[in-house]
Amino acid sequence: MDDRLMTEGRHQQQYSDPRRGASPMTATELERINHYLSGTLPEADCIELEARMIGDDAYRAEVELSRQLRDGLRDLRQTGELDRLTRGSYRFWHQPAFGLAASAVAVMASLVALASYQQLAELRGEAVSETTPVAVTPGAATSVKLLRLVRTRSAGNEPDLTWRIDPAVGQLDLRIDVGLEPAAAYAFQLTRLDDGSSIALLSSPAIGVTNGEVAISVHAALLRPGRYEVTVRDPAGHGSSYQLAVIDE
Amino acid sequence: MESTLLERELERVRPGVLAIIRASVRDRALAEDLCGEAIRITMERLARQPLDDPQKLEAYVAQTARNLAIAERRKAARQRTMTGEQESLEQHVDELADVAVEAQRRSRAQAIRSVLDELPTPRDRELLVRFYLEDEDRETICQDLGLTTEHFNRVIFRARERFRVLLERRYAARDLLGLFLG
Repeated sequence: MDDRLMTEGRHQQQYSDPRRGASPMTATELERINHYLSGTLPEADCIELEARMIGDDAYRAEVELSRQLRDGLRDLRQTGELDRLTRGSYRFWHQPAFGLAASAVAVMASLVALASYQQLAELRGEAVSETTPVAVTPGAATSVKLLRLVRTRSAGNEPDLTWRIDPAVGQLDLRIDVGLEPAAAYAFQLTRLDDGSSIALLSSPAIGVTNGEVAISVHAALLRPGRYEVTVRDPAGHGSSYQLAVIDE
Repeated sequence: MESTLLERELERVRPGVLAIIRASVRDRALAEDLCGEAIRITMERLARQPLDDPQKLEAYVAQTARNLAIAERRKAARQRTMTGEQESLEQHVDELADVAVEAQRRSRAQAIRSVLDELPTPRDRELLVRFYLEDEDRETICQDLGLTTEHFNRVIFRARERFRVLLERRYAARDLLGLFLG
């Protein structure tokens, strides 16, 4: 089976952002600006870039911000303050792997709860959708290695979701950037959306923020073909929802 | 293009012209002088010989600004190699200017330090320093921080935005202009 997981990023609520609506620069464009400012951009590219700076206010603001950053950081290094500021600040628990491992523990606990819930539901004779996963044992799903991911929206100022899949263990890592000013923790929920009904597959009342992101690991076996919704909410109830579709091709 | 219209157009592009010059001339007053010079030269030349295609005005004035910035850099390089009486005289002027520039540099460093200190995620600090100061390439940073290219795009964008918002919040727009144009 060749599954495709697709996000459509339907935000129900966005975080405050004074520059919402500005189009994000790609890293390639930022690198180009960096080369321009360091004087290493080829002549023809310089001419093109400068013409754009003249005619495009938003682009010029981006170049100016890059210049401010570069000049400011250089000043800071010259005054000897930069090393003090950055030394030791990136501790081991800030590493993505650590955050992911922590969230994986939380999600695995949820999986156990889910499996228990499904057993109880079957015992009670309640109707469970045919597409709802019943087996979540790691490594049991044969489709995991074929799962492909397609991005359908670009990063903006609003909360954003990126992902990575590890086919070796069949694990889908979701990283949700929760905005410019993250809260300490977020409630998370993964819901399967079936015709006219929704089933909460995973939920956690408080997942910590690492590097400005809520990191979740989900075993891909849980995501059978169908539609899903990922929701994160801060303690004040503000948050975002993303809709995912796992498509059986 | 008639004279009034040309003047209006040149006023419109003035911020862009200044930004081009500021990319290579750090002294604010000098950059503003050169910007005014670029506008004046463009105005005079186009009054004598208008452009065939008015759409090319932006490229034309950008090139003029660029040429002036390059000429200024060359002039500065020549001044660094001067000797004798002229050097002594200009050195005195330079020293006075250096005091002001140094004070400005310290203020700017203080602003950046405060904002970096406030950034909520240590990874943002590391990313900004490595990308903007060390000019490290994206692949190396991605490898070290365990990021995919797509993830890097978002993270660097967010780091910049956080930096921008904090900077604007901490310093009024007018103060910011003073700090970063100075």
